[in-house]
Amino acid sequence: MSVAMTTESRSAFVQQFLSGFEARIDGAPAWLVTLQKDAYGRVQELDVPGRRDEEWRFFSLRALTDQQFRTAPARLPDEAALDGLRLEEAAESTIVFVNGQYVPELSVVDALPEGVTVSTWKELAASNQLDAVKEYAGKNAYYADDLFYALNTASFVDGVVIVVPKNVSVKAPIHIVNLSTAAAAPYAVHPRNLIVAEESSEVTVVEEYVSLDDAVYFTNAVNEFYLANNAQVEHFKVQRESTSAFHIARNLVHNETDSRYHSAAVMLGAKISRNDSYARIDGTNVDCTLDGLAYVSGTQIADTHSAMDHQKPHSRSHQLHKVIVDERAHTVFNGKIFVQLDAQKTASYQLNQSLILSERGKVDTKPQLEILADDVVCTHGATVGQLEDDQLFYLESRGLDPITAKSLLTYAFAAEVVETINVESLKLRLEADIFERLTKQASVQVDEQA
Amino acid sequence: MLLEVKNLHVNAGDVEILKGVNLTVNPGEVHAIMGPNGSGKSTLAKALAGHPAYEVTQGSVQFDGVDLLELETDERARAGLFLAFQYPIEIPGVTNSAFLRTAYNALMKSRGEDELDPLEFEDLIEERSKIVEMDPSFLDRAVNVDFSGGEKKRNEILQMAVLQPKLGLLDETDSGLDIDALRTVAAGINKLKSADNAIVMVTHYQRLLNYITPDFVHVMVGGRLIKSGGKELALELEERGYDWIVEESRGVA
Repeated sequence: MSVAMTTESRSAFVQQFLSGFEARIDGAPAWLVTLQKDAYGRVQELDVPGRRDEEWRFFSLRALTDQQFRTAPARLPDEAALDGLRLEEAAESTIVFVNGQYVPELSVVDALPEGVTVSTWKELAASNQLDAVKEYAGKNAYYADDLFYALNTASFVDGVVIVVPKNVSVKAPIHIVNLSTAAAAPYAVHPRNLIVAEESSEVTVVEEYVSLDDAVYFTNAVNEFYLANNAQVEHFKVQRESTSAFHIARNLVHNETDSRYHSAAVMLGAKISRNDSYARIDGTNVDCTLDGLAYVSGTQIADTHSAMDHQKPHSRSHQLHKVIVDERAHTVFNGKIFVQLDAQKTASYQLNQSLILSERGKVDTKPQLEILADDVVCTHGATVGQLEDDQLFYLESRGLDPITAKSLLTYAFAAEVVETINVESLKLRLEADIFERLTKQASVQVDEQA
Repeated sequence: MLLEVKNLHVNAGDVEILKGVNLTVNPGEVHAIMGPNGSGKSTLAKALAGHPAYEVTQGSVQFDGVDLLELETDERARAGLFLAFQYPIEIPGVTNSAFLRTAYNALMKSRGEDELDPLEFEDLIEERSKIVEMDPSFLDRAVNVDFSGGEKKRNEILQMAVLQPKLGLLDETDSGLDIDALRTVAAGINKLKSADNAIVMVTHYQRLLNYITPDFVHVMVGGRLIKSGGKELALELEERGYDWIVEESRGVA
């Protein structure tokens, strides 16, 4: 089947994903095929974003949109590839994808409480169980005009589906590992994760993107979280893509009354990353947290957009977004808070703090408040700073060499976000990794100055 | 001889603060440097520790057989010089225990001795915390963040207890302390004092010297140490103020 082009301006970037629609998942129910097909149609209608678009004005996406991507190569790394990645808390709840393909040999999903689904789209399609998530998939319209969201919906071949039934608490964190390997040609993957936490259920999700090689590829991910009344979800994302890779992600969260969604996204890798979150607070007494840390160096770009959408009264939201920029790297933060007319007594907190370690690092920050209700407490702010000489001197006066002092202070800045990760082994691994990278960076600079 | 400062001149920016300081400290000695505000007492302490805001323009400092002025701040610390800050710096995000352990291990590493892992260090810190009667819970708190004035000063002395320097420079460690806190801090300093190390206290008040007996008292005025004596000099200063010394030194000059 071929599709006629609608406009001449359609770029080669989108064109490459429009070689004809076909059902992506064997055995997919009709509603899913329709969802993907409609999205395919949407991709044909949407423009490739550029700097003229308000949402993309801070840097050029050309490095991505000039690129041609193939289908991801199937490659199975051995267990050694997961050394240092496995989380002891998730010893029996780890799902591994390599280049977008689910790898059962590397995955372990065992000993979950009865009734809990932790599976993949393909597995559930094969066993005719996808109808259980029909009412949740692709229902949030926030990214309706977003090319990357449409592209993911149209193109995804797999991803994780989690359903936690009413009153069930899953103690072990569910660790989703997305590994990428080197390939002969650049490739694109479109992971799609759907997490449904039913009434009074609890679950922790660790979503991780790791590259085994310095490969050029494009991760275009979408998460959908649905939290029913009183559901408790913890979500920790770690992005350590290759510094030649592109990472674009949309994270949709739907909160019902009394639910609690707590998240922290740690963005360390990729040449260009764009991490978007949209949290719709559609109930009262909701607690919603979208914390984040971006640490970039070299010529990396890390862009974070978020929208906290308070629809109902008496809810609380929190967002602490920290940024560390070294060398010629660039970060963007655009955090929106919407407080709708009905959302009286909302308490919303947002703070973006940036630390620039180099002369040529660049930070753009744009907090936005849009408040229609009149009885709310909303605070937001942004700071951009450098390491303080007094603090460095204090540490050095206790015998810490300048590299260690600088790394420790920089790490301390990041720690406030990392410490919210309550999966202990992940937290410790991140602390060690970040500190090691900071030390390495600081050493390079000391050498250059010498 | 542990410390020998000769004709030390120090600038802060374009302003000369120290105008030829001479001071000799031997192991086992306790020295007090007193003087009015703005006389240069704190500048001396900070310059010896290598604070980047102060530039040595003349003079020499020998410390334990090495040229102190050739060393960076961290090297001075590892060589055994310790400055207890007048205003201890807050370090959000770094716990006291992590900070102390990092500092201790930096010292061990430079001496070629074994570094301590967190568990081993816990034992050490538990013992040293007793010296300043520090509640162990504060080890989990960020360095000096939300500490009271007294806690900050006790924390400085705890750091000294962990690092066990050859020379402790105490910059107004007594200022702003209530009498109980002062007693605790002074008792801690007395416990750390030995025949092998030395202490130089920079202070504005004679009160501290009721608890820590100095062997020598020096008076700094206008960037110079213009008079030295025994502990009785401190009492005289308490009674008569500084003016008479200034007069006396002018008379001599």
